Amino acid sequence: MIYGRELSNDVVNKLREHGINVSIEEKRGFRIYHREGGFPKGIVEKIVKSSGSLIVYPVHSTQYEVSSFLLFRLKNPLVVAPRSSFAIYVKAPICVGIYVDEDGVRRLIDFFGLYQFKYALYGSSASGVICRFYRADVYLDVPSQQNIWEATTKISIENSSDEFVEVRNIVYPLLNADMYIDDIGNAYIEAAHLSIKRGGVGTVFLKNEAPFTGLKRCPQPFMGLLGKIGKFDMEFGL
Amino acid sequence: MNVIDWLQVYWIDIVYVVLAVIIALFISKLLERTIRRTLIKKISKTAIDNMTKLLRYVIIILAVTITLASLGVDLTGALVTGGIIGIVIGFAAQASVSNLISGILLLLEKPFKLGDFIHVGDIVGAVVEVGLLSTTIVTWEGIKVRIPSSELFNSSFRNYSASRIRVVRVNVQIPYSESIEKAAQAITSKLREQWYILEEPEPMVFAKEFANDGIVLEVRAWTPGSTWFTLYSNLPKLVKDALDEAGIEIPFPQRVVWFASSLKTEEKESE
Repeated sequence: MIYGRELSNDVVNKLREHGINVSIEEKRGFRIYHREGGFPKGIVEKIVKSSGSLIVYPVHSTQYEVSSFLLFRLKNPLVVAPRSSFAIYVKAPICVGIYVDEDGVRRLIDFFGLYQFKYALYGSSASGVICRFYRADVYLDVPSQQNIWEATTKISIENSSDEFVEVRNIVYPLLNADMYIDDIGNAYIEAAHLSIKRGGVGTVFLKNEAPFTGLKRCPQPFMGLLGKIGKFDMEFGL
Repeated sequence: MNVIDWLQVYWIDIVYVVLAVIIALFISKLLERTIRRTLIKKISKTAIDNMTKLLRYVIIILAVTITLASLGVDLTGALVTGGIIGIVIGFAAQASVSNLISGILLLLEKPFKLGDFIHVGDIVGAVVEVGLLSTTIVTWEGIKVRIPSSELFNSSFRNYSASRIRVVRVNVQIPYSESIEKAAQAITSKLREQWYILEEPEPMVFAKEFANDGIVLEVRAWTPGSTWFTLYSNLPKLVKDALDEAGIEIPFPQRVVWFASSLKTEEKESE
C-alpha cells in the first residue's frame, strides 16, 4: 500500500493503475508537481520550492465547504437486540493526499479521490445536514483486504433501549476525525461509538482512539480550518 | 467668588466627577470588549465601532449626571433643556432612529449573516456589511447596494444561503414516439454522475403534460445551497446531453413558408 511512503515510482505506478497520472519534474531548484485524473477533475500543476520529501498520506474524502459529515448507508442493515452491544467494521472513502515535508513541517499540496464525491441530505430540508454519502459493506471481523481508496474503522454499537432497533444509516463526524496508517501503508480512521437510546434515537461519538493498536497517526490538513466535531445526534433516525 | 475660592469649595466634588468619569470609562471598556467579542463575526467592524462609541457616551453622561445629582447640583434646567433638544433631534432624525431600532431588532433576530445571498425587492446579492442603520449587499453585477435597516425589517426577503439544499427545475419535451422511461432513465443517470447533485433526495424526472409538440418532462435535481448556481447553470445542458446520448431528439415547432411570388436568385458563373 502507499500511505506513509514517499512519492516513489512504485506509488506513481500504483496510482497509474487507477488512471491517475502523477509526475514530478525537477527544474532549476524547483519541483513541478503535475496530476491528471481522479477527482476533483482537471489538471493540477504546482511549483514547489522545497527540497523536502513528498509523502503520501490519507485525507478525508469530502469537500469541507460542502460537508463535515459522512453518511454510511449500510448495504446490510443491522437489527440490534434490546440492551445489547457489539462492534462492526466499515470502510470509509478516503483520498490520496500528497504532502511536502520540510524538517517535520508538512503542507498538503494536492489530494484526490478515484471517483467523484457524492453527497446526500440526512434529515429534513429545513434542519437536516448534508453528508458525504457512502454505501458501505458491514464487516463483523476486521476486513482483511484493503484498497487505497478506503480506510477501515471500528464502530461499537450499544442499544440501551428496550426495543429492537434497525440501523441503516450511521452519520460519522468526518472532518478532523483522526486518520492512521499501519506499517504496510494501509489507512484507518478514528473509532466511533453509536449509542442508541429509547425511541431509536442514536448519537455517534468519536472515541479519540485508533480502531486498532499499533497504528501511527497521520497529519490533519483541515484541523486549523474548523474545530473538531466530536459527536452527532441522529435525530432523524438510524 | 473667584476661581481659587470656587476650587477650594468644590475641589472634592470635581474629584468625584473625575472619578465617576474614569469608572464609567472603565465600565464602558469592559462592555465594549464583550460586545466586540460577541458580535465580531455577526456584524461589520464599523457598526460595532458606532455601537460602542454610542454606549460609551451614554455611560459617561449617565455617570456625570448621577454624580452631580448625588452632590446636590440642581440638574432640572439641564434635564429640561436636554429633553427639549432630544425631542427636536428625535423629530429631525425620525428615519435614522427608525433605522437604528430596526437595525438592533435585525441583529437580535439574525435573519442573515455576512456572506449570505439575499433577495430584497428586486435586488439579489451577497451581504458584505451589516450595520445598525443599513445593510450593504453586492449584487451579481458587482454593484454595492445600501439597504436601510427599516426597509429590511419591514419587508419580506429571501435568504438563499439559509437553505441546506435547493432544488432546480427544468422542463424539456420529448417526441410522442419516444419512451418516457427511456428518457427519464437517461436524464437521471446523467444527473447522478455530477458530484454537486445530491444522491438523496435523488433527481426526479416525470411526465408533466401533453403539449402540441411532444410530452413535457419536468426534471428536478437537488444540490447543496453552496452549489446552487453550478446546478442552475448546468442543468439544461446536462438534460440536453443526456437526451442526445440516448438518441432522443427534442421536438421543436417547424414552419413551412410559402412565398407569394417566386424568388429571384442570381447565379454567379465560376471563372
